[in-house]
Amino acid sequence: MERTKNSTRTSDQAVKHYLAKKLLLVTGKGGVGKSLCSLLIARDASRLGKKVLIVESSAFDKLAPMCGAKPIGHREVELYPGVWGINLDPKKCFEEYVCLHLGIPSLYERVFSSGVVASFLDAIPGLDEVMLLGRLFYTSELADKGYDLIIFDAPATGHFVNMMTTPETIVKSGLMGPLVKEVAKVLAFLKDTSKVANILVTTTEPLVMSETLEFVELASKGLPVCTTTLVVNRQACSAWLLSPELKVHPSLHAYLETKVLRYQMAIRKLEHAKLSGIEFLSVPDRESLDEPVTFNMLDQLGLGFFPLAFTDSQGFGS
Amino acid sequence: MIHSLEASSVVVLLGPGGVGKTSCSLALAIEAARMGRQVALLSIDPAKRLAAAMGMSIGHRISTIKLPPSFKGSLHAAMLDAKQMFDAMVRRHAPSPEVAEKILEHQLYYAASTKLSGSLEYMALAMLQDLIDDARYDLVVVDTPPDVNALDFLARPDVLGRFQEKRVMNWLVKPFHIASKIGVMRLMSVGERLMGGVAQVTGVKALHAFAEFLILIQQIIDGFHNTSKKISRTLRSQSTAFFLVSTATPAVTRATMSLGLEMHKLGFSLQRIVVNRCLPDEVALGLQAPTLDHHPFVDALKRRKLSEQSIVEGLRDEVRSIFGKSSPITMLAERRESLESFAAILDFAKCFSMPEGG
Repeated sequence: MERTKNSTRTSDQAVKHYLAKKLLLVTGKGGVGKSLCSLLIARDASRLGKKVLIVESSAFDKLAPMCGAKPIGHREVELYPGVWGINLDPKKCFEEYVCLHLGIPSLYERVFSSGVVASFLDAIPGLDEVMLLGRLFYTSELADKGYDLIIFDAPATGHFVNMMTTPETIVKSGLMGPLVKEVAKVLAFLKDTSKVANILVTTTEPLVMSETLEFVELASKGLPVCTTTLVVNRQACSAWLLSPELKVHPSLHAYLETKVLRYQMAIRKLEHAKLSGIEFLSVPDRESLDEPVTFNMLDQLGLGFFPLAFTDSQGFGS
Repeated sequence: MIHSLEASSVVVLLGPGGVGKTSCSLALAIEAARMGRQVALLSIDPAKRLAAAMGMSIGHRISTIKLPPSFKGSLHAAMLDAKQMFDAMVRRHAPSPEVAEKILEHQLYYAASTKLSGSLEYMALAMLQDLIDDARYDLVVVDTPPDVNALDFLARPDVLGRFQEKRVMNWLVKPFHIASKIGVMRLMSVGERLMGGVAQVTGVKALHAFAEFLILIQQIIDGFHNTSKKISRTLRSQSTAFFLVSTATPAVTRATMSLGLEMHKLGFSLQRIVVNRCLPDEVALGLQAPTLDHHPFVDALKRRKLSEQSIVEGLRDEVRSIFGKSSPITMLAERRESLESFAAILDFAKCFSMPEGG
């Protein structure tokens, strides 16, 4: 495993920087590698002996099958030693909120299990989002499960923005009541930069890169959470362009060259954007990712990631 | 692919995020226009640069795309502005202009129409129906909302349907509204008792405000319910074709097939699968060179090629087991050039003029 040259910060320092938080929100455009990135962070945390929970909220489990496990649904299951996963179902979060947090299970049975009330709740815009964020807050701050770090393998940027702006919309809606008060607490938690950080994942593909930069700008103005880290996934290895084994095969060499040029363009764009306060990490391009994803594979991809000091990648070891 | 385009009046592209749905929708729409169709392309939130490359003007509902003179048809790109669409729905279905204004100025309206999730899918459906009804177009290509679960988009009419069928307004909202207006929870009817329970969680005032808002927009909900019933039928009819877009990676394929399964459960039929961003042929050929030495890049590419082959085979089998018949699979190569110029997009569109098969 080679490290990027001239890095201003060692990998371990970079790791500690975000591992000190309670909740990490991992977002990015669809298909950029959010789940993989969540796993890489979880691996780093587990190496430091932390107990980690990776949370997703998807119609179909994404994480567990990647790890070679059966779909887990709304249950906390240990996927790797020290790394747990759950696929939150907003409806069940609501049930838990009423039964466990408010402590009135009889109310849930009497009222919310009724079909007509369920249909009414479906019509309340933003309720699912609030329940998910509330559950993240609860698990990070109130529950006694002993997780050192929660990683939210969050929805893609568009839905993420909607989700993250929902608490503020509710607090500012002029409504009042216990639920709105709870939402205000969740909002205050999300805004606490000592506890919560947003990690943005991107690839070097130009359209993805443009959207990533658009998101950074939007996030800095309109989101309660602070973006601290940008992970550039699928970094092509420029050093290989010099390999004599590849030079004699023009089609392969040209293919790699396209990827390297794309990467260099992306880096120039990042430099040009002068994103202050955001650290950059990168993950090398492996062309394909075999499943199940193991700790060993994650270690090969990046021991705490490559800190990206705007130099070219040295490739992945074998 | 020509066949499915000619026989359909609506084409819906579904797929997990990041597979290139928007580019494929655009390419498909261009190809249909080349063949002589009058195409409306509905994009919910296209990437700004893609829009710019197409000459779409952001902020306009519908812009006509300038196509080469040899194209027989036309292409009109419609972009959804959820707030604008919601406003239009309110004005269309409100019993009077006064009520419409009252709704538009309500404290909860802004939140419901813009910020909160869910409204986007409803508005996309409303806009889709408008485009289908518009006589200027004979084909509507729908690029389903990015980043929102594509199924939410399809299942929305059912959510609203349940709301109506269960008579939520008459059972819950109205009795509660009247009771809380008088200031006493009489707890007489079942509905009042249930809403009393809901209020224990939300607070009476918040629930009252929300109930009042629902009553105010009741006619809009009714109007919208009718629209979504209509769309529901259109989407299940013979004239609608569904394309599933995927890439050849295990995680994405899994998500694609989950969508396929749900599609089938909801009663939609699958026309074709597009597997985007496959290893280009010239690279795959290069991998067969006998003089090839071991190199991490070469090994990685070989693993990828093998994995892609087995994934496409798996897709074929799974589609057959879900839908009871096989669907054609189109494999599209990863493109060297990013789709940032009109020329590049036109070139990509050629992929969709391939003859039937595969």
